[in-house]
Amino acid sequence: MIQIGFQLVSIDATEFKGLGRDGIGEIPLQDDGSLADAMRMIGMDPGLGFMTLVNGDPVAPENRSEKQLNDGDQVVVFPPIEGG
Amino acid sequence: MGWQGKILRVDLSAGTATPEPLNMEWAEKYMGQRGLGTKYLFEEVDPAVDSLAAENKLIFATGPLTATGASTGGRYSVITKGALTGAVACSNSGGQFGAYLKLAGWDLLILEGKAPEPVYIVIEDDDVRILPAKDFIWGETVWDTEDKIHAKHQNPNLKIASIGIAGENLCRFACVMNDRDRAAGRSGVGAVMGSKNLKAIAAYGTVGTKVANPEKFMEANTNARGKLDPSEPRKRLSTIGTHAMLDVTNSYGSLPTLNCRAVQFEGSSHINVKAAHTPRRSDGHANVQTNKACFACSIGCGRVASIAPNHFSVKDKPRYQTSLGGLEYESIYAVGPMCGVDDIDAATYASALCNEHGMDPISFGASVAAAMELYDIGAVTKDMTGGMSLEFGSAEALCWAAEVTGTATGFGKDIGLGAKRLCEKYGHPDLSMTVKGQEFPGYDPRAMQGMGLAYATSNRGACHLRASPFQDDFAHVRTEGKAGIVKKSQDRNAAWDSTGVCLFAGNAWEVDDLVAQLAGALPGEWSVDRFFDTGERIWNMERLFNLRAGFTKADDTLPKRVMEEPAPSGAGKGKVAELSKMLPEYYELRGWTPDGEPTTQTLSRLGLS
Ligand code: SF4
Repeated sequence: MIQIGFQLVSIDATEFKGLGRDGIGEIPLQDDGSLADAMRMIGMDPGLGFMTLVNGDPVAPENRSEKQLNDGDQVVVFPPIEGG
Repeated sequence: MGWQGKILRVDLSAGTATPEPLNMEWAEKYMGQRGLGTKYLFEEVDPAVDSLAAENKLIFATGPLTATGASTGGRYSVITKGALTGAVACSNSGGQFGAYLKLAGWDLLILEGKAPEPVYIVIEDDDVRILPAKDFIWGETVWDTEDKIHAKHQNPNLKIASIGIAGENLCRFACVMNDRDRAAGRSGVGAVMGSKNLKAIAAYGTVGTKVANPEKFMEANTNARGKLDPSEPRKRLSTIGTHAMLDVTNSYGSLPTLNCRAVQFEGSSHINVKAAHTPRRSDGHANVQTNKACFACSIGCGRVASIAPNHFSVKDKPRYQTSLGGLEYESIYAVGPMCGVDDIDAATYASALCNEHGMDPISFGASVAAAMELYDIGAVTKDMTGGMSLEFGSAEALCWAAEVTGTATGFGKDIGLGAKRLCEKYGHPDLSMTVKGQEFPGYDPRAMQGMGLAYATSNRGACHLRASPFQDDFAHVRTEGKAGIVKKSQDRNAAWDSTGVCLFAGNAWEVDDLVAQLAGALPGEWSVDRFFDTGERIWNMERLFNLRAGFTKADDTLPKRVMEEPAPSGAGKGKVAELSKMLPEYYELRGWTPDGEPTTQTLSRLGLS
């Protein structure tokens, strides 16, 4: 098993599993787990329009199943907000 | 029929107000608000005119859905040749004023000439009065202007659009403010109003509005409300507001920081949404008190905030120890990270002063950031600022800058020139983070390449609302595909801004949802294709105005810093804005020559020949 750091930015964390109320936490993942697997672990549909970063690099929704994670990787998820 | 069919033309030089029928042929081709107002500007104003000359016109335009009951349908735009840019300007605002101008029976208000002495205008249905502002409200803040007009006319229902002291003094990024804290903010439309000696317009209407097919309109309206009201984006904008974007751009590395020297801000946790909602130690209250909405809006993205009463900015100033308009993403980016300031109370104070004196907080903050960099490199010194040390990160300097710029005092007059003129004056034009003279909003183009193209090609200068490349930009740091995304969303937004409905409703609606409401409100057939064609026509007309004003392909560019200095961190680390990879494809998709001019075929296809 590997450990993945997770951070939800501007997303209500109470809707998801395994993270603190502030949306930050660590989740265990199988050795060859992908970003899509990690998102499923917290109860988030990887097909949803959320934006994802792995160690600061964006990973597009269509690449989440292929994006293999390594021990200690940091995943950031934020909503697809527009404008401001 | 959506439109009222009437415009009000006010000749400020002659002191006359004359009703005219709306040109219905133009209304059908340009809808309203941005499109229709720009059509009148295009036909009536020589694009080469000085934006502050009496020959420039200032047009207040409502949309066909304004005040019809469409969700978020209370918008109006101010259209003119911009004082900041010299380009076509169209600034969109919510609040209540636009809806009441329409409810008084007017689609457009065209202001021309220059009043010999300061005046204000009161519009109550067909009763239009041009009244002296001298010794009454000239020289007053936006807030006091509204209070005094309400008191004098004994009508608290008058909705007021006005300029503050910044607009009177021709601050290049002065806004037209309405309903205290809402702003037609960008491009210096308030300076144009000031140049006409026009302080305020107060409107109240009882005429009402009509739609072409009430049953069809109500069905479309109900469906659209049913989609918007329970949606996630509505909930998010209502609860955490646009301020939430700060954590997103900071995580992503597209948060313009320290005048774009950096793209992530280490002090962001002190000024983000969480900080704004956390009760303070000093008085137990949070910065954000509640949210507020514009006319007919169920989103309510606006914030009401308070500053800690013991904060240095408001000590002994009871005027500011009360509820104030709060921070939104664009204001906090500009007065926060862009200036390196991580003090949320100072940011709230500076933003409130922008409202009070009528300044665009984006341009204000980015101009202060440019001044701070000029100070940092020694091009501006304490002798020039009257003793203030304008260091990056100084909350005191930020608050001082808001005071002196808002009141056009001392070095504040130089900040009020805007970043481009300021940096030119002090010999470092490359330090101005502007496009066509307008300061960057809160997205760094190195991680967001699509936004870079959007800034460079925006007809009113750097702008985050003229195109919507957000989704693709937050998924891919690349140049491929951006030209098409930017072009399509520019056309969409140009049409959307011409309806009277807020762009933020587009977070929950598809274009079909809006078109269905237009089809119920207006005569004739409305389709998604017609909507996009209208947007493309508007975009090209704006482009023609700018070309005739003297802009060229060379102005479709970005500051040297983001084109040559790689992003130091974040998703775009090591990358620069690669405009040259996107611009030729963009011109081609637009049907423009390689020099960025619409071809005769394009003009004829769009009915612009
Ligand atoms: S979404 Fe925000 S800006 Fe738009 S109309 Fe509603 S409150 Fe006003």
